[in-house]
Amino acid sequence: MFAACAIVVIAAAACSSSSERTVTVVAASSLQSALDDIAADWTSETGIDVNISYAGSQTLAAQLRDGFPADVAIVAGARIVVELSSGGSLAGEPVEFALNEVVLAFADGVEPVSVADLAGAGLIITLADPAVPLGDYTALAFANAGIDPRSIEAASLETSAAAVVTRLRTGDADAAVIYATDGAEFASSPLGGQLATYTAASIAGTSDEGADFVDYLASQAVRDRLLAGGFIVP
Amino acid sequence: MRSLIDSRLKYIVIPLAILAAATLVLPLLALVIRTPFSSFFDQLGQDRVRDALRVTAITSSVTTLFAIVLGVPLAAVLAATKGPLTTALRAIATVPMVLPPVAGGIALVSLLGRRGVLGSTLDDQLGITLLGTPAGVVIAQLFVSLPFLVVAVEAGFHSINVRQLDAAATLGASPLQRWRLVGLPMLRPALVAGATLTWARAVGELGATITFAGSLPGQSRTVPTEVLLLIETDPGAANVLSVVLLIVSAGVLIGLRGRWLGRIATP
Repeated sequence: MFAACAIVVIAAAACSSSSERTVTVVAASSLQSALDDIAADWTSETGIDVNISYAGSQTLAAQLRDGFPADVAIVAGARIVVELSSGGSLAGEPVEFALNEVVLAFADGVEPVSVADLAGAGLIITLADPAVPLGDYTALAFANAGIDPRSIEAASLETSAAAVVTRLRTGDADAAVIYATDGAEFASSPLGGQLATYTAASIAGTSDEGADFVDYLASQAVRDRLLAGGFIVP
Repeated sequence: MRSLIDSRLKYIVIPLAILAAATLVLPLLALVIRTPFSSFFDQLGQDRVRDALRVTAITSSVTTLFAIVLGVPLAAVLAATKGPLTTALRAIATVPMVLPPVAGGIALVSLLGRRGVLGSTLDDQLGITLLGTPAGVVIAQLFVSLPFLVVAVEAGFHSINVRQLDAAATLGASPLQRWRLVGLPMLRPALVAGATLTWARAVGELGATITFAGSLPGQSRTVPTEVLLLIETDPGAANVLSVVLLIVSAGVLIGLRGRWLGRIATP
């Protein structure tokens, strides 16, 4: 452990000397398609590097709770933000800057069915577990659509949004509830009009550049990037 | 042993050894410190935790049984033959020990997934799919843990005194009797060690399992998968379950030290 810490400290020192200003961001995996471009735009505008670490929600939660050295957190859902905010770990107000549609998607070669017919269609369905943000939204979406989430028999309740999409891609599932931007290639239908929210916040006690990056996320340039990537903006 | 570390070298070797030990011990110590022991049994009594414990107990036991039935013959073949084919087979049989389990999971999806090389036939002809089933969990666990049994038991076969087997044959014992009365007792320590390691590896399996068998509560959601989910919603329960996994691992090693290492490693 000490040895590992020593290595990390040396590496961190080496990194910080190579580039003077860097903003470190931990972000939800499902944002990667748009956030890489957004960060590149900001770097070319300000000269400040953005170092983004993408992860599933469990990793994000563990990292943020345990004081992972990040300047900015960008997460799906409200749970971890509320927890961090009430613990005093956030600087300033969290910003809801992007939305994602929650959709019912079908694997290649599967005849799409309506949400109402899903339970009796004999399809293999995978959903996200309610413990992860997508799973939370999935339950809300079914309820919005007038369907008891418990009536939907899933073959698997996956541990990440990425894992749910993978089941469609490999064909191990016929139908799945996913973020619209994760599976643009699949036939899909809206599910109860449910939207997922992405929130950005700068971490208390970190650099001002982190707060600047969070502010930038509300700009028109970012909104254009998000819309082009299939996201919805508030 | 003392002459191994000479008087000047010890100022380098001993601090590094302490660092190495700290690397291994401190995280586990921190895990125990951060675990809410006051609610230990309440956490284990939660329905979802009990389901995961049950799934893990059953699948890992079935996996170990299959590993013995399939692994002992493979180990025997490896021990009894020589040549490039044997060497290649031995290398292949140990690949899952070093392959990232997620990659193993992807390999299993490629083979047995619903559109996999064999899986598509399974689905079309028999209507069998493995996502979300205990059978899928067993297959994933078997893939990653079988090598532990094969390696241990092959070493056991090599340590068998063939002359004693021959002597039994000379005395008129049938092939089955020779193995039951002479061979198996000699093989037993290696078999027990191999089976125990296989079981412990199966209990801790995560990557191949979630990739191949998914995570259906009561069916394919094992303790490690439950830990992964609880990190987000109930970190205290995640710690408690991690401690359970730690107790299992430590228990296995302590048990083996007495039973196997003690008997074979020390003359």
